[in-house]
Amino acid sequence: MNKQSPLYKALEERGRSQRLPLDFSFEVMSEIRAVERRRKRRDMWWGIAGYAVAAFVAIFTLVYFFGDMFNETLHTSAATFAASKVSTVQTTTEMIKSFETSWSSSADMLTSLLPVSAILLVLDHYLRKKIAVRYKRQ
Amino acid sequence: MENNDRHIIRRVIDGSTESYKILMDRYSQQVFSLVVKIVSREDDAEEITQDVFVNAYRNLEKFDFRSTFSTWLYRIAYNEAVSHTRRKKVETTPIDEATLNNLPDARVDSFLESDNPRLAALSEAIEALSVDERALISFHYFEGIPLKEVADMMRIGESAAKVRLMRTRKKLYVLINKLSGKYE
Repeated sequence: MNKQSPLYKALEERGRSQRLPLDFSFEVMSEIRAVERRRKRRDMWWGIAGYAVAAFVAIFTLVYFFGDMFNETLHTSAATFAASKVSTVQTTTEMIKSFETSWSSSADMLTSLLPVSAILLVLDHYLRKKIAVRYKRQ
Repeated sequence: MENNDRHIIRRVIDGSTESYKILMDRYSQQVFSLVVKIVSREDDAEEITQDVFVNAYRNLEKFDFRSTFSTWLYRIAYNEAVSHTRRKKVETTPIDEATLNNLPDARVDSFLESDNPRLAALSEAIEALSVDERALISFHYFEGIPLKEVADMMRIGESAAKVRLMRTRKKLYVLINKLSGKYE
């Protein structure tokens, strides 16, 4: 690089007096923060979708393979409880019937468990993230 | 590359967005000055410089620390300048190919290194070059970046970069003589 050459001097002359405005960094950082917010929002929705799918698959698998066992256990527990309480026999019979109705199909169980699991898993994800960030800062 | 740059880049990648401002304050004027040399217009240069730093932030995880951070920024700046110019469809002065081919390299080299008064038209001649040509001479002659690295930044082979560089010098020779009203 020959700093004495006419070409170097001509190139040096180009834009010599031009400076960036004072608020340049501020403007760019504002845009970058917006980029970051959009990215985090996108990640959050992908996270929710991922957890929802995982929860659905887990619950579906459980219910598919063990749904009958749950049904039976619930029925047996409810019946035992009813038998030991004479004064609540009628209520208990109704409860058993109600259990049988509401838990009679895998689809019903899924409908009940899925949103609760999804909410719990999302909360779990955020809590873990917050703890991880706090730990990193320390 | 400054160890400090590496440390700051890692912090930004790890989630400290505000640390990016340190890099920007360090390199923004340098990048802007280079972009002005390539595109000429200050408004365009400012817009392009802004795009350079936003794109650099978006792709910071892809920076592999094999080159300096400034060189990496220059590569982004070149790409942004070219895209910007294509969008705006800036025209350049056409030069007859035969004229360029017939010019001896030695004559061009000795002229451009001399103190010939006609070289006063050099700035105007640079203005008439294309963005690629201005980028090539700015990177190599002003920033002092080796031609191999410049070729890599512009995504061309080293031989192609050498040919283009010679061709650009010949173009400057022709333009200077045209502008000064005399052609040898």
